[in-house]
This record gives sequence, structure tokens and C-alpha cells, in this order.
Amino acid sequence: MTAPDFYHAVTATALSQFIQRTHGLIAGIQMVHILCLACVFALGLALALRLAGKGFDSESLDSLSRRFVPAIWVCVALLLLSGALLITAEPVRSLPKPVFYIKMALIVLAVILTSAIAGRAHRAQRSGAKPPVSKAVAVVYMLIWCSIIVAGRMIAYY
Amino acid sequence: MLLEFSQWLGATSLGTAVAEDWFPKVECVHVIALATVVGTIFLVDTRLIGMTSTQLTFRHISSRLLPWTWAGFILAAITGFMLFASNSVAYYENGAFRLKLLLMILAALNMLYFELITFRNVATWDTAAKPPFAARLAGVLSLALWCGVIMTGRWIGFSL
Repeated sequence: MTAPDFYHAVTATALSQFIQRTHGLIAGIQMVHILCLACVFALGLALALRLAGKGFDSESLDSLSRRFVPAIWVCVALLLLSGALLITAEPVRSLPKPVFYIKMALIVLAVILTSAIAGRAHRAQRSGAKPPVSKAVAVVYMLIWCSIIVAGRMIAYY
Repeated sequence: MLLEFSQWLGATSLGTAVAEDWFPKVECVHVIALATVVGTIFLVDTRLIGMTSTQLTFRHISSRLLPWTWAGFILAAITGFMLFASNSVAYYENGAFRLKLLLMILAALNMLYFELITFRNVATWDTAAKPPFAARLAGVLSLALWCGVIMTGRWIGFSL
């Protein structure tokens, strides 16, 4: 099966047809996608600020990540689900484009870094060590989330 | 008068530069700014409703996040104005764009009422896991209005 055949087969499925033909559904799914993106971005920002020692200083990084990282996972799961529905509706809009795969790779990177930050904070808390503070990691972390947004917008253009 | 302003703005070098070269770049910055605004507002509003971070005071959350909301809003307003300039007459005549502006004005009025009236006695409910009805109502209205802003913002792309 060639790539165009695959896109055609996906577009012909009942789910794809339902999303395409229901007035306002694509816009509604996009709204959920953007809302989840905004939430994950703000949660990531709070985590990065604490990691850089620039905010939320009354709470340890471990405590903050215990509250915020599960919320990040929920948002990422909803992002993947809403993204999958949008791809099902219009596979040609994203799947043939290299920037889509760059976005996916960046999401994997963001998930790994989120886990690493939370894991390191938890280990430091358990062993009584000094909590990790790294402005560089915080900046890189937020740059990854910004790049995910940029790559997402670029799918519409390239 | 607004139509004349839109016609003038679209013909400026800013309008043509954004339309011809900068639109995707400006749009990316606009979405990052919007994510900062809406995301931080959601974290503050869900605390106001009593859904999240209930072990922390409301002021603890709001004082740390709202400066980022304002910074994001200023950036979103600047980039939004630049995007508007790229096709100003079409945006001016677009129903979704007008509705988006109306929802933003309502969100601002809701915030103003909250700041001037409800927030005045914050000391009495700052630590409460479930703030008073007026505060929770402000949070729910804010969440609904910003969802509407995102929805109408997306709808502009479908209706231009």
C-alpha cells in the first residue's frame, strides 16, 4: 500500500467521514487541542521556573512535580488523542510533511525531559540531597515546548 | 471610522510586510503568547474554583503566575495587531473576529469586577480550598470566556 492509498483509506473510514461531515467538529477538536497545549505549556513553565529557582520557591521541586507532572501527562494524552482525531479527519494535512515528524520527535523529547526532571527531584528529596537547580535545563525545556508549538503551526505551511 | 482605519492599516508597510513575508513567524509567536496567557489563566482559575492546588493559598498561585499572563498578553496583543494588519479589512468584516474581540472584552470586564470587588476581601478566603461563590463564578466565567476566545480564534481561520 502506497502512502496516498493509506491516506485515502483513512479518509474513507466511518470515523474520518463523521469528523469531516459534522459541522464545527474539527474546530471543536482543535479547540481542545489548543486548550491542552496551553495548559501543558503553563504547567511546564511553572516546573521550569521552579527548576531555575525563579518562582514557586515556597514548595520543593519534588512537591511541585508531584502535583503538576500527572496533569502534564493528562494534557499530553488529550493532545495525542485530539491530534489523532485531526489526523484521522485530514491525514494529508500532516502525515506527508517532515515537520510533523519533527513535532512528534520533540514531543518524545519533552516527555523524556519531564520524566527526568521529576525523577531527579524525587531522588534528591528522598536522599535529602540539595534539590536540582538548573537554569540551562529550564531554558532548554521551555524551548522544546515552544518548538512543539512552532512545528505544529508550520504543519499548515510546509 | 474603524473601516477607514482598517483600510489604512492594510495599506501600510507593516500590513504588506506581514501579509507577504512575516505571517507564519508572527503567528507562531502569537500562539506561544496565547498558550502562556490561557494556560496560566487556567491554572489560576481552577484554583479559584477549588479544583487544583487547594493546599496552597489563592494569592500564592496568582502572584506567581499572573505576571506571566500579563507578559503573554502584551506579546499576544502586539502579534495579534500585526496579524490583523496583514488583512485588516477582511478581519474587520469577519464575524468570528468580532465575536473574539467581544469575548475578550467580557473576559476583561469579568477580571475587572473580580479585582475591584471580589478580590478586596481575599484575606478572608485566601486559604479556603473552596472560595466563595462570587470568586468561583468569576473563575467559571473566565474559563468559559477564554475557551470561547480560542474557539472563535480558530474559527477565523475557517471563515476568512
